[in-house]
Amino acid sequence: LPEDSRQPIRITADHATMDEGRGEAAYRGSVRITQGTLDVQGDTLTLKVDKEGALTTARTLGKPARYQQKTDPAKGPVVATADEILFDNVNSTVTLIGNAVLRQDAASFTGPRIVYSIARKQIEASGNGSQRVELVFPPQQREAGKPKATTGSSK
Amino acid sequence: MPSRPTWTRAPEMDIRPLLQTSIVLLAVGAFAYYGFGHDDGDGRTRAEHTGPDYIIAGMQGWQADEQGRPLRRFDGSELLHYAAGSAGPERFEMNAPDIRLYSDGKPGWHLTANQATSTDPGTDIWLEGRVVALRDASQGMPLRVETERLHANPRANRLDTPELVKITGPQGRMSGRGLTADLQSRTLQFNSAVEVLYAPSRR
Repeated sequence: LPEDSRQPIRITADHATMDEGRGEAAYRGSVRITQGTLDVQGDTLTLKVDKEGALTTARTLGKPARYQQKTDPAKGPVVATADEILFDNVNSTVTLIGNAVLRQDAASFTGPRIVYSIARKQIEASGNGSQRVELVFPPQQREAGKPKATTGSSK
Repeated sequence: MPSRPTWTRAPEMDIRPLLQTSIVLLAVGAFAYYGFGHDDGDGRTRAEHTGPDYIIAGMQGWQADEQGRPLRRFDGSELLHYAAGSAGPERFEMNAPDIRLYSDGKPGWHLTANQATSTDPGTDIWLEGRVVALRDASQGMPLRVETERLHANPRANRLDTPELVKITGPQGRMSGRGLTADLQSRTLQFNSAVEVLYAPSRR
């Protein structure tokens, strides 16, 4: 949600190494990052910050790595899994790399690489030589209350 | 004709106070060494101490680098010295230690605790009891490190502890159990139970 980015980022892990000179922090072991409705889990996480200490990228690896976030109050959360999840805080994009699956309500995208723009709510899925992209959209729901078509005539 | 520039002599650094402090310390050390129980050359120690063989109350010590710039400063309410003997190696204990580490003459870290124990003040100091280490803003983001026990190796610029550690800074706070910090390369490592809370970025 828009207010997610104004929430503190909480990270828990088994082990952490921080290199202030290079602006990098590496976390290992049951890694979890939460910020408002954002919830990312994986085996390792590498954070990069700029000179002012603001987060620029967060790269999570897992078997699989998991991402979940509510991006639209009217819809269900976006739920994704992939071998690698790269969160770009500057461009507000989430890139799923390797066995990528992204779902929201009944719609789903699968493929080797999916880029999801949180700000623009756009999805770009691309295949490669060995794996194509697959999109599944649920049939349009009929408006509630409309009489169903019946077979045969009424007397 | 342009007027000749007038050069004024830069005031030399007055190191007489530093020399006086060093002389006083040497005198105290010599008095303590020869005054109380020492090995007088024939292998017999005049008195096998189990307690401290000398105590200095209200201590302040400076150590400078080759250019005479401050390197370390030790303040304490009391310094107890235990001579090497059957009880163990030579040992220093300091109550209410207040240790300042300098980097290129500038304040670096400021460490305080209930007590400090050391067998070699240059490389091996254990701080115990409400240990607080503050990093000066001249060295990077100001940080506050809190733990119950911290081992300092001033010569190698390293801090480490097996205990729970909390670090607070302008970006947020982090905690973990078991820490190793290299002050020179500005890297630190938590060994377990890591929790970090970053303040929201101002983007």
